[in-house]
Amino acid sequence: MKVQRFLTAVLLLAAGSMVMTGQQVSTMYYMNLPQNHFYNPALRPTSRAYIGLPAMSGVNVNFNTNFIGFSDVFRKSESGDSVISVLHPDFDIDNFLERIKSLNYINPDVNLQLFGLGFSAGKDLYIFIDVNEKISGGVSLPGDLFELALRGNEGFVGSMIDLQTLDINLMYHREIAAGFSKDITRRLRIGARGRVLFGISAINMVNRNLGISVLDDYSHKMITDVDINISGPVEVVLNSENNMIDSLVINEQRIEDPYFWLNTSNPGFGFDIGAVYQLTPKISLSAAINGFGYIKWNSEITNLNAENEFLFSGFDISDLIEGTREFDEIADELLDSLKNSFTVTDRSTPFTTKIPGSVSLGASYNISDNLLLGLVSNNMIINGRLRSSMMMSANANLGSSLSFGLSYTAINRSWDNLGAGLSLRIGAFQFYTVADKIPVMYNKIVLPESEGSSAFNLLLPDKWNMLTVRAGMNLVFGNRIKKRSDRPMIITAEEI
Amino acid sequence: MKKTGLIALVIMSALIGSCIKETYDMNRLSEKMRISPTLAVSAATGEVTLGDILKPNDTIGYDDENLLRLWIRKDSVAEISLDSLIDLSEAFSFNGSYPVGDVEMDNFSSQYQITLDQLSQFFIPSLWSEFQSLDDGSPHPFPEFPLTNTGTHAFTSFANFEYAVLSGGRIYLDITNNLTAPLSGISVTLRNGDDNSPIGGTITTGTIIAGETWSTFIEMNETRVYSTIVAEIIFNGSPGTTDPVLIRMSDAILFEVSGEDLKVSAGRFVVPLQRVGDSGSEEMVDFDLDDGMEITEFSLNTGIIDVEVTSNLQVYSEFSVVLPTITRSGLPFSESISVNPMSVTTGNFSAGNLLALLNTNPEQPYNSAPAQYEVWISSQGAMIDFSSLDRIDLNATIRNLNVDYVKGYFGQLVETVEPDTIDLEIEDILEKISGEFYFANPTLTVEYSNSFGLPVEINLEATGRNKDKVQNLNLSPFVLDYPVSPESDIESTYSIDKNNSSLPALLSLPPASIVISGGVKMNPAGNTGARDNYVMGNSRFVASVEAMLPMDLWINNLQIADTLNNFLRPDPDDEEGFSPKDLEYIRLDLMVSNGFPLGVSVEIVLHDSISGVNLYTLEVPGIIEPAAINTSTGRVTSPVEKTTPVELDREFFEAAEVADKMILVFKLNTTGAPSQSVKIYSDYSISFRAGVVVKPDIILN
Repeated sequence: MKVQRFLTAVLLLAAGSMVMTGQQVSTMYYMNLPQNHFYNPALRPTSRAYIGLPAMSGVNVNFNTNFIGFSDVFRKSESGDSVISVLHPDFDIDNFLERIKSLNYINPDVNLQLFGLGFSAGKDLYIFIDVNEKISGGVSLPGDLFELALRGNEGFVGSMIDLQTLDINLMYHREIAAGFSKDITRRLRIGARGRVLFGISAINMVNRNLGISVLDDYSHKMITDVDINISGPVEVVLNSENNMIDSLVINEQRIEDPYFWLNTSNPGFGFDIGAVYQLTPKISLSAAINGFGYIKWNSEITNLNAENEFLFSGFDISDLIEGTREFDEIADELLDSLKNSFTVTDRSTPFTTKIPGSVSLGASYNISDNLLLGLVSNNMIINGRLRSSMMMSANANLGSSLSFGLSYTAINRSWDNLGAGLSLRIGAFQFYTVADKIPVMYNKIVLPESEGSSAFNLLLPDKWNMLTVRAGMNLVFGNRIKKRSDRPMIITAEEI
Repeated sequence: MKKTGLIALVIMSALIGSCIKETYDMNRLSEKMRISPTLAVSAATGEVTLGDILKPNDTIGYDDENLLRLWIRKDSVAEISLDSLIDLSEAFSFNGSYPVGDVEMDNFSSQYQITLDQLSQFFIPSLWSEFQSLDDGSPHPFPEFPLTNTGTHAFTSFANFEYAVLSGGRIYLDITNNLTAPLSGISVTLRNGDDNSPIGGTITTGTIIAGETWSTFIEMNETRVYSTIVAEIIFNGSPGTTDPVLIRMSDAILFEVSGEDLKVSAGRFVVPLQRVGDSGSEEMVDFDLDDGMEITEFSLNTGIIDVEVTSNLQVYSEFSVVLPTITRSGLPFSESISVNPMSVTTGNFSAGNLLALLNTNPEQPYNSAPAQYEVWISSQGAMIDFSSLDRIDLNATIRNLNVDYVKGYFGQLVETVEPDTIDLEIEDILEKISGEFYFANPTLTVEYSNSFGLPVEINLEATGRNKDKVQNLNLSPFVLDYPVSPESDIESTYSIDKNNSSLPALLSLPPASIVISGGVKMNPAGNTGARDNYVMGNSRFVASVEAMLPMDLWINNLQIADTLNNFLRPDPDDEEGFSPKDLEYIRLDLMVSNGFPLGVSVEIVLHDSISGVNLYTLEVPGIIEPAAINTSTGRVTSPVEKTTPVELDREFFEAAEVADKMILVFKLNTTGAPSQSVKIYSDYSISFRAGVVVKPDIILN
């Protein structure tokens, strides 16, 4: 019965995760690590307290993409005696373009825990404080761009080159969070975490409409409604004649100013809430709403707006034929019209960026006191798009000393994502490393000699859709796990 | 469980180390890189209306119905003034030669007396003695004496001549008997003292009583008379008297010879001042006019009459002329000129403000005017040789003529225009075209202002030639409109078109050259006797020509070919430059909505002039289709739409790399040609949209 419930929960989670476009979900979720409250504030480690030291407690590097891999760009020739690139005449471009999605994204981000503190306060209360540096970015490339570059625009005659998914975002902010988890009932624990955010610098693109319609007569209609908001020491120099961007100048002096890095003029707020419910002594359910927040950028603002429509139907040479104008005049007029259609306005209006959050649903089954099978469905909404992943893990938490987990994640239409995590506690020092996408297959790249360096081999994952690595060291104190005769809850939950 | 975890960890590590899917040796990375996207873009668009392309100017225009017309107007192609039509200065010239004729000579007289004493010398001595004795102062009966021949007696020479052939006049002989007895008669024979030639016959008087003068005369008729006259005198005696009379030996018989009313035809004499010839009489002066001109009247504003008088006389002369029918301000023209003996004298008179009537002679009511002339001569007391045949020649011409008007008949002047070939210099163009076209309604209009009041017939011949094709204009001679007095000028037009000539066929030849000839004939009907030609001094014939070519035409397979240097051929020295091989193809999708009744086909030939081979031929038939027309009006009813792809593929570009020449051939056809003409209106339009599809083959390495 318990197994059935578990399996039912698995099926439900799987059904809710059919759209597998990725977000990081970590093997760490069911590991005995203080940092797991990042995924669900209701989760707790077994230690009573921990301290995360600056730059040592955790560096998290995430890389998500649904873009192409090395083997999509390079292949061996049919004879096998050479390597050909995607631009080689013998390369199967059609095959390459089939692999390009309509929306191709590359999302790197880096989290650096500057400071962490967690401690049990009382019997059922756990308080934690974190200071994190977060750099996140993302580039979305419409698949039509590649089609356009490699096949040209003839295939778009009568339709549209959709560039609305073109997106560029980069954000660097500092997060100071404080939260708690508390046992509400014997079965239910809730957690909450409030995050005060301080934006340091950001580039945010709002693409409401961008595209090129290619009409049947080969006329091109370009539609633009794009904002690029910048907060940072960047000066945009516009051409006074045509209001086009002449140059971008970075104020290096400002960057060298320490106060730039301590900027508090761009505040924001975020929150996480979560809950863990012990359904049965072996089965627990968890849910969390994580990561949502916003930052209002007020300082060193640059807003660039381009909004217009431009129809190019060719050079109207009626006047040329009539002899009333020269071709240069017509071309200049068209160019001016084009420039005027895409004027850029530079304002300094504060803007707000939303931090995408996720909704996680988890279920776990304790096979034994030390072995747990878990399932987490993570659904993230980024730019209005849902990215889901499903992780199945097997975690072995051996007391508070060793925690090991293996996971399998389906994400980004990628079905071969294995993850593993390991934490080892030696005294007060807890070392951990977690990788949620361990490449199974690698390509060996033999790089040629170059000046100053000899030839060497590089191993690149064959598929690099997702890469999540986290590692660090915590100072942990105490152990809340007590041997009980009854079946314990999951290790991250204090016995209720 | 710890063991389980450790084992799992080890296995994972092993798996990682052994899963090399593929090895890529980047040392063997092929540098071949190429992309070949297909790019489609709307390159050009446009809509043009004929009226916007061809704006009205001096050559192009539209009529009230907006039909396109080409016209060329040339003002003042002909400007003919009176001088170029009639040279009146040459017309009005006069030559006259006037013989002096017989002139008068002053009367002369001389006396000779024979006294009784001289007479008695010829008596017998006894009678002489008797008469001597009777001269005692007492009256005595005058003795009778017999016939007595006293011989020849010379009169005193006449001073006013040496000799003269008297053509008229009389020589009088007066014999006065101053004796106191009658004379029974005297026989006198006058003779020239120089050659003893008789002057007249022997004159025999009757009885001359005492104190009586007996006169007689001899008519001169070409009688030569010398200044010395002698008389042979024979007295026929005297009966004496019965009554005593004084007998004086000094009493004489007076003989007087005198000449009166003498006319001389020749001689050497003093010519007294006199008017000679037929002076004072009126004669008709004929003007020397050329070419059958019959002038009846003319008026001069200004002018100068140059007169040259040549005198063969040894006398001073003064020539005066009065032209009664040539007036100035109502007064007859009169002038005189003095001429020295045996000289040429020139002079000039104003001919301004003259009105000449040359039609007053009923026998010749033209070209003549009465002239009254006088010639006064005088030798000014000098003895001169004279002949009545001596002449005064008069030559008069008029220059600086400013004619007010001339009336009459100016003759049937024919001016032939020598054939002149006009090379239209379009041979280069004609070599490039073939096919046919036909302009249905060209016109050549001559607008003229004519103030010459006389008919002029124009015969214009024009022949167009194009290689072996010839086309004549076939225009019949026509007469220009002219004013009829009192109208001074008239404005009119004459049009040459399809109705009176083969102008359409000529222009549609098309001619490489046109040979123009013909002529102009004044008074084509000849002299009708009306003499109603009328011109004024400021008469002008001014003509402008307007050639109008309405675009009412058909074009049938008109091919225009031109050979250019192949501009698509890449520069072999430009290695980095664009090469047509970089393109797989270029396709031009031309979408045309044609509102013109003209269709175009295009052919592009890439030609290698070295081998003489056409390497590639691109035919695009019907790239523009002609629009439908209303067959009765020739006007387009609706445009025709067509989309034509023109693809230049790799073969084309490969040929373009070799060919040095590109031959462009355009073939034009109008709707329904050649059986149907079309008309081109200003509101015809053509809209087009040209899309270009390019598939470049871009080699990146």
